[in-house]
Amino acid sequence: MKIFFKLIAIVLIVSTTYSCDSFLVEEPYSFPSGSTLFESQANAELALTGVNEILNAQNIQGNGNHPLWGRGMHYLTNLGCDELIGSINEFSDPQPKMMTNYGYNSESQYVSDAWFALYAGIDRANNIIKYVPSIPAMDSTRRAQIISEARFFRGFYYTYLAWLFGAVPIPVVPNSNAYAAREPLSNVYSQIISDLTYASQNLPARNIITGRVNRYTAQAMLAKVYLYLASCKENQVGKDLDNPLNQFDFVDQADSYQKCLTLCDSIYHNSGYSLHPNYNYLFIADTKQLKAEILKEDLMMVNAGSGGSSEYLLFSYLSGPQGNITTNGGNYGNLRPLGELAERYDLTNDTRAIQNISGNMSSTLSQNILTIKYYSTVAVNTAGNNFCLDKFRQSDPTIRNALGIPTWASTLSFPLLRFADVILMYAEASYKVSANATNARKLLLDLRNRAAQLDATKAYILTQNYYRTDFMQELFDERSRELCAEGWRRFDLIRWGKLTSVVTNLNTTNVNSIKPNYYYWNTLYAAVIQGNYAPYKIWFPIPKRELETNPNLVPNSGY
Amino acid sequence: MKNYFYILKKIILFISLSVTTATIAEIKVTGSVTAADGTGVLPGVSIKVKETDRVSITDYNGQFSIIVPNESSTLIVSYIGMKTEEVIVGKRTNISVKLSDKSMQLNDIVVIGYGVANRKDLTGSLSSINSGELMKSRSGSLMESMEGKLAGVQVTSNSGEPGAGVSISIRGGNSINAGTQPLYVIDGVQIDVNNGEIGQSSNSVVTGQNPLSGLNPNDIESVDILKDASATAIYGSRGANGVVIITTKSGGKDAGSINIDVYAGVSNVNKYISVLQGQDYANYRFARNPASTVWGVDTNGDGKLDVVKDYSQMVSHDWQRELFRPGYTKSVDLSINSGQGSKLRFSTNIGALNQEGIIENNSYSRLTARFKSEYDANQKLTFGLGTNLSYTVADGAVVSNGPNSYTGLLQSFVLYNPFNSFDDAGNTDNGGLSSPKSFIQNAYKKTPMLRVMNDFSINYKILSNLILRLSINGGLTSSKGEEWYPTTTSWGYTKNGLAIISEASSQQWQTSNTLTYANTFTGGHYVNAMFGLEASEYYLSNLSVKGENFLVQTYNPVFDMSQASVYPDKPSSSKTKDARLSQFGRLNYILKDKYMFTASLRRDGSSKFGENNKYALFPSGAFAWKAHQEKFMKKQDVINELKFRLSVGATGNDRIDSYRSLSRLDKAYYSNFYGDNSDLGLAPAEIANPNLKWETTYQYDAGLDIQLFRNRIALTADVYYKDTRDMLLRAAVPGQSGSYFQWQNLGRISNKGLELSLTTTNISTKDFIWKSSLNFNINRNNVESLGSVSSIPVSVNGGWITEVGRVLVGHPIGSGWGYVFDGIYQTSDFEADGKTLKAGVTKISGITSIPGDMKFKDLGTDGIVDPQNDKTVISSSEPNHFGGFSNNFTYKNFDLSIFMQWSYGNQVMNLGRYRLEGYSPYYNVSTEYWQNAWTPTNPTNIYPAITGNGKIESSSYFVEDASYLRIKNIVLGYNLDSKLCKKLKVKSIRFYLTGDNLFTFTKYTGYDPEVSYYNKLMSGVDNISYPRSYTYTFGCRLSF
Repeated sequence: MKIFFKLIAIVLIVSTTYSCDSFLVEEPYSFPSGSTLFESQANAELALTGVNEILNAQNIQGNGNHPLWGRGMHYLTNLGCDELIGSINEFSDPQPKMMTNYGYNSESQYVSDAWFALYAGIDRANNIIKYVPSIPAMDSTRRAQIISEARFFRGFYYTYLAWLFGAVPIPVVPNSNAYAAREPLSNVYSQIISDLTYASQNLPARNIITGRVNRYTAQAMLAKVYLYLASCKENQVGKDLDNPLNQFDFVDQADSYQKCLTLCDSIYHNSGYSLHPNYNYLFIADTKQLKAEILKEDLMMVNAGSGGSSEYLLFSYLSGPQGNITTNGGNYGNLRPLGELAERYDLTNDTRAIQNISGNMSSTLSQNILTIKYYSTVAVNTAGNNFCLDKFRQSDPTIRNALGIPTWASTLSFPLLRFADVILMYAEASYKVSANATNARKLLLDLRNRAAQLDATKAYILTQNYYRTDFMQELFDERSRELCAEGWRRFDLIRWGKLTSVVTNLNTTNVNSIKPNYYYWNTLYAAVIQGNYAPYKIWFPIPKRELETNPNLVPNSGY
Repeated sequence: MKNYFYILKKIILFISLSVTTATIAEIKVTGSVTAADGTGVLPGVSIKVKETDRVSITDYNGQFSIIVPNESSTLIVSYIGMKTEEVIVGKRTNISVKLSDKSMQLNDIVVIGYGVANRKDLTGSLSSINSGELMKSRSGSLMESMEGKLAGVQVTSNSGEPGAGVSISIRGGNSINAGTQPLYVIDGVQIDVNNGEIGQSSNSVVTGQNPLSGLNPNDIESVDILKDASATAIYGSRGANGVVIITTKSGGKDAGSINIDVYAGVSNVNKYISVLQGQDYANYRFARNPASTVWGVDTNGDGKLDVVKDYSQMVSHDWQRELFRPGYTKSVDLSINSGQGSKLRFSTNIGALNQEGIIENNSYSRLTARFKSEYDANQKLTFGLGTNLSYTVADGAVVSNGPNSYTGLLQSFVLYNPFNSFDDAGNTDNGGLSSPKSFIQNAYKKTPMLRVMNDFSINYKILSNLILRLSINGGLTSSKGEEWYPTTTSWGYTKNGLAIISEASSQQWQTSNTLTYANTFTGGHYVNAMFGLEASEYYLSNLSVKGENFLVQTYNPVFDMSQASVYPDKPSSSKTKDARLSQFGRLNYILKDKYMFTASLRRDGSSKFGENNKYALFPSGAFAWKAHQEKFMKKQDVINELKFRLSVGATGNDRIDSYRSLSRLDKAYYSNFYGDNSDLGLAPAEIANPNLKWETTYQYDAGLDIQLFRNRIALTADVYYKDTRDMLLRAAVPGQSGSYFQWQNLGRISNKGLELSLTTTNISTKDFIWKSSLNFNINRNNVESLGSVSSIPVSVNGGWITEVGRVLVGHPIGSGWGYVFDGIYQTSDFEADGKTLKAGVTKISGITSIPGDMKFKDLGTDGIVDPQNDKTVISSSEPNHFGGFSNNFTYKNFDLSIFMQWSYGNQVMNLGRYRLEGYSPYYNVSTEYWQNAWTPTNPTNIYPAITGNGKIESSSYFVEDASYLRIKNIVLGYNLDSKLCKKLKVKSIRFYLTGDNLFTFTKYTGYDPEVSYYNKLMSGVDNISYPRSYTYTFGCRLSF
C-alpha cells in the first residue's frame, strides 16, 4: 500500500506541473539561438567569418549546392561568351547544362541559389553593421575594422546582384522588409558605392587575418564598379531592352572613368601588390606552399581547405583538364574552351597559353612545383576532342585522398581580384580618360613581360603580335588572355556592349581547318548557344520562387 | 505459482477424463434453438456434446435431437455470429436454448482512446484486426501483416529488404513537411514513428528501416485503427494522421495456456530483370564505344575497328542469378498465459526470429520478451505492470540505394559488367561500381536497435461505476549503427576505406491519468464520461563519427576507429527535447440503445510551438442511430443491424522537428587562407516564428453499418472528407530577407474518400465453412493551397534525373513532373543533311537533335520544347482504388485462407530504366531495350537509340502503370483432432503451411510494382529497389 501512496504522490507532483508553463518552454541543446550572436567581440568575429563564408558556402541553411564560387558563380559568369562552352550533351544534370547555353529560365536552380546566397551574405553583413556598434567593451579599432569589412562585403554582394540581375531590392537593415520592391540601378549603385567607399577608407592596408580583404581590395572593387558603370553608359547597355529599372542614364561617364583611374593609380603605386613572376602558380594553389605565393598578387581570393568542415570548391564541375578525378586530378570536362580563345594567343611564346590551352590530363606525365606533384596535360590532338582550358589544376589526388578530401573537391584558392586585373583596369581607364593609347599600352608591358617569362625577345614578339590599331580591341583580347575563366568575360562583354555580336559571330565550324582543331567544341555546340541567345539575356531572370514569394518584384523583360 | 498449479491441475483433469470416458447410461435429448432477441428460431445451429465427437444440427424449425452419455454431459451450442452457449443436460430431456448476438462477446470489445467500447455502440469509424488474422502472414513484421486487410489503411513497405521501412497512410496523406505516419499507442504508450531513433549514416540510409519492426506479431492481441475525428480527436494534436492502437496479449482468459509456435520458411527472389550476357554484352559495348579496342577489332588494317571482338569463350556472370539466394527464416515463440479466476493474471512471451534476406550476408533478427500482469489487491484496487523488450539487428551491407542512390548494391546486380569479376572498384570501365560480389563479401553494416517499454498502472474503483486510473510509462531506445566499406567496395575505393559509427538513443516518459464514470439510468439513459490529464517528455540524442583512409584493413575498423588516418567530418552530436501537456474529456450518451452521442474535447500543449501558440483545443462530436432497434425494424428478419453514423471534429499534427519556432544560428565554417583549418563562423539562419502552431485537420465522416441474414453479411461503409489547414510548411520566404525558409502555418490539403468493408459467410454447414471479406478504398488527395508559392519541386537523390515531381496546387501529392514523351526522331524528320530539323518538327531547346533521340511534346505553340513551358504532371502515385480480398475455408480440421491485395491506377516512374537503357556507357542494358533500340534499320518509335538524347530528362517515357493484383498470402492449416491431442496430452496442435507474395499480376517492368520511395512527396519512384521475395513457411503451434 505504501508504494501505492507514493505513486499517488508522484502523480500529484506531476499534476502540479500542469499549471506550470515552464514545462513547455523549449531548451535547444544543439544550436545557439539567434539572440546570442552579438553578445561579445568574440561573437562579432564569428559573425564576420559567417559573412566571408558565403563566398564558398557548400549550402546556406541547407539550401543549394555550392551556389557561389564553389561552383555556381563560375557557370553564371564565364559561359555564353567566347572563352568557355559546356560540353552540353555530356551533361547529366540539366541544371548546369542550361547555364551553359542560354537555356536558363526563372526556375533555374543556379540562378535562384546565387540570388539567395548573395542576399544571405548581405543579411549577415547587415546584422554586423547594425549590432556590432553597440557591443559593450569592445576594442574600438577592431570594431571599426569589422564594420568596414562587413560594409565591403555588403557592397561586394550587391555588386554581383546588380551585375547579374540589374535592379534589385536593397535592404540595409536586418529583418527590415522582406517584401521590398526592386530599386532602380541608380539607387543600387549609390548603395554599393557608399559601402565600398567606406570600406576603401576604413579597412587596414592588410587584414589582420591572412588572406581576407583589405583597403586595396575595396579600392579595386570600387574601381571595377566605376569602370563597369562608365562603360555601360558609354555603350548604352540595355537601352534597347524594355527594362526601365535597368538603365544607366544616371551615370556620369567621364567622372566614373576618372574615379576608376584614380583608384587604380592608388593601388598601382601604393598597395604593395605586384605581379607574381610565375603566372601558373596563381591557378594551382591548392597546397600551403603555393598559397603563400599568390598573396603577392591576389587582392582577394576565395579560400578553400580541408579543415574538417568540407569547405571545398566543386572542382570536378569547373573548367580544367578533363581527366580521372580519382587518379590524376582531372575533372569531368564539363566546361570546354572555344577556338576563339586559342586563336587569341601566341601559342608558342605566351606562357599563359602554355598554362591555359592544352589537352586533357595525363595519367603518366607529371612535374613537381615547389616540391608538390602535379600531373601534366597532354597536347591537344588533331581532332581537337581532348581540348581543355587547363588554367586551373589540382595536385596529385593521392595527397588529397590522404587528407580525406573527396575526389570531386578542391582546396584551390580561387583568385577573385588580381593585381593583373588592376593593371588592365588602369590601362582601360587611362585610355578612356586621356585617349592616349601609348601610355595605356605601357601599362600592359608588365603583363606581356611576365607572359614572356621575362624574356625580352619573346616579350617584344608578343607586343608585336598582340598589337591592334584600336587600343580597345587590343585590351578586349588582353583581358581575355590574362583573365580567361576567372569570371570576368561575360561582364566585360556586356559592359562593352559586345555580347550580342560575339555570340552571333562564334564560329560553328573550323573555318580555316586549323590543326589541331581548336574549334572542335565550337562545331559541336556553338550553334546551340546562338540558337538560344537573345539580347535580353544579358540580365538573368529574377527567380520564380522570389517572384512568387514577393509579389512586389517584377521580372526582367523577356522572361 | 498458483497459476502453474492451476494449469497443472487442468492437465491432470484432461488426463483423468480421457481415462474415464466409459459409457454408463446414454440419454436422448431433444430441443430447440431460438434467437435471444426474439426474432425466431435458428436453423443450422451446431450442437456438440462436449468432450465427445457427437454432433447434431438444428433443422429448419430450429429443432434438434442428440444422444448424450449421461446427465453431467454438456452441450455446446454454436452458431455463426452468435455467442456460443454451453448447457449442462442434467435431468432434462427437452432443452430450449436462446442464443444472443455475438457482439456481446468479449472479442467485440474494441479499444478506443483511454478506454474500451462495444463495437455495437461505436459512433466513430475504426478498423480492427485480431491476432488470428495477423498471424496468417508469416512476414515477421506486424505492419506487413496488416497490409491490405483494413479499410482505409494503406500499408506499403519501402522495399523487400527484411526489416525495411513501412509507411502507413490512413485516409491519405495530410501534410507536406510534417509527418504523415499515424500515432501508435502500444498498451497505452504513445509512440511516434521516428526514423531518427535508428543509428544509420546518411551514406546508405535512403530506404530506411522500420523503427517499430521490433513488435512481435505473436505478442499482439488486437490492432484497432482509429480513423475518423470522433475516434481520433481524443488524441488531439497527435491524431490527425489516424491512430493505431496495439494491445498486447494478456492473461486471465479461459483456462490459461502454454503455447509454443515454431516456424521455418524459405524466400526466393520473385523476378529477374533480363540483362545482356556474354557475346550480346560485347556486341552492345562495341556498338556503344566503336573506338574501343577492348570491344572491337580492326580486321582489314585500315585503322578503324570494324568487327566486335569474340567474347563468346569468356566467363559471363549473371549477377542476379549468382547472388540472389534462397533466404531462410526461423522463428520460435514461447508464451505462458495465466488462466481465469486468479487475483494475479499474467501473460508472457519470449520470441526469436531470424530472417535471411535473399542476398548473402543480409539478415534481420529479432529477440523479444514481454511480460504483462495485473494483480487485484482487493476488490477495488488493481495494479498493472507491463514490460516489453525488443532487440533487432539488421545485418548486411544491403541497401538498394547508395550515397548517391545509384551506386548501391542492387543497382550493381543488374548494371555491372558481366565479364568483370575482379575487385577493382576503381576501374573506370565499371562506372563507379565495384563488383557486387566483392561488395557483398567485404562491406559490413550492422544496425541494432533496442527498445524497452515499461508501463505501470493503478485502477481504483472509487465507486462501482467510477474508476480512477493512474498510469505512468516510460520507454527508451538505443541503436548504434556500424558501417565499414573497405577499399574493395565502390563506396570505400576512393577513400581507402570508410568506416562510420552512428548512434541514436531516445528516452520518453508519459503519465496519463483518467477518471471514468459509467452508469445506466432508468428510462434507458446510458452515460459514460471520462476526464484525463496527461504529460510527457521525449528526448532524442545522436552521435556520429566517420573515419577514412585505413592503412590496415585486415580487421574491421569500426571496432578501432582511431586507426583512421582522416576524419573527413567532425564528430557530430545532437540532442532534442519535446514536452507535451494535455487535458481531455469525453462524454458518451446512449438513449434507449438507439441514439448515441459522443463528444470529446482535448486541450493540448506542445513545446514545439511558438510561445504565442503553445496550446490548442481539439473538439469532436458524433451521432449514431441504431435503426434496427426501432420498432418498425423488428418486424423483419433480413436486416439485423442497421446503424448510421455521423461525426465531425478537429485533430492536430505536431510532427515537425523540435525548435522550429525559434530563430537559429547556423555554424558557417570558412577555410583559413592556407586551407589546413577552418574558422568557425556563425550566421543568422531561419527567422523565429512565435506564432507557429499546429496544423489542423477537420474531418467529416458519414458511415453505415449493416448486417443482413443473421450477420451472414456485414457491410461497413464510410465516406469522409478531411480538410487540413494551417499546414506546417517549411514555407519559402523571399530570399532578400536572408532566410530561405521559415516554418509557417500555410496552405491546405484535402482528402476525400470512400471505404467499404464487406464480410460474408457464404457457406456454413457442419463440416464446411466459407467466409469472405473484402475491403475497398478510394482516396482522393488534393493540394488546395501552398501559401506563398504555387508549387514545390520534389527532388530525389540519384545524380541524373533529380527533379521528378512537384507538389502542385490542384493536384495530389505524389505527382510526377516532366516532359511528355512523343516518340523518337526519325531520319524522315530531318532535311537531307541529316542535321537540320524539317519545318514543323518539334525542336528540343538547347540540344542538336539527331535521329534516334527522344522527342517530347511541345505543350505551347512555339515549336520548341523547353523546361519552363513544356513540363507538366506526368504521373500520379495515388491509386484510383486499392484494397484486399480474403477467403477463408474451414473443412473439418482443415482451414485454408487465400488473401489477395490490389492497387489500381497508380503510376511509378521507373527511373531504373535510364540506367538499364544505356545512359552510362559503362552499365549493362536490359535485353528488351538492346533488342528493340532505335537504329536506322529499326526505326522504332518506342525506344531511343543507344546514344540517343533525352534519356536523362524526367519524362513520361519512364512512367509505368503500377497497378497490381497480388496473391499476397495463402495459409493451409490443420488442427489435430482433439482426441489425438488428448492422447498426446496437449490442448491443441496446429500445423500450417503459408505462402507469401506468391504471384503478382502486373504490367510493371521493374522488380516490383509495390513501390514506396523514401520521399513521401513522391512515393512513386523506383530506382531499382530490393525486390520482394516469395516465401514458403511451415509452422506448428502447440498449446498446453
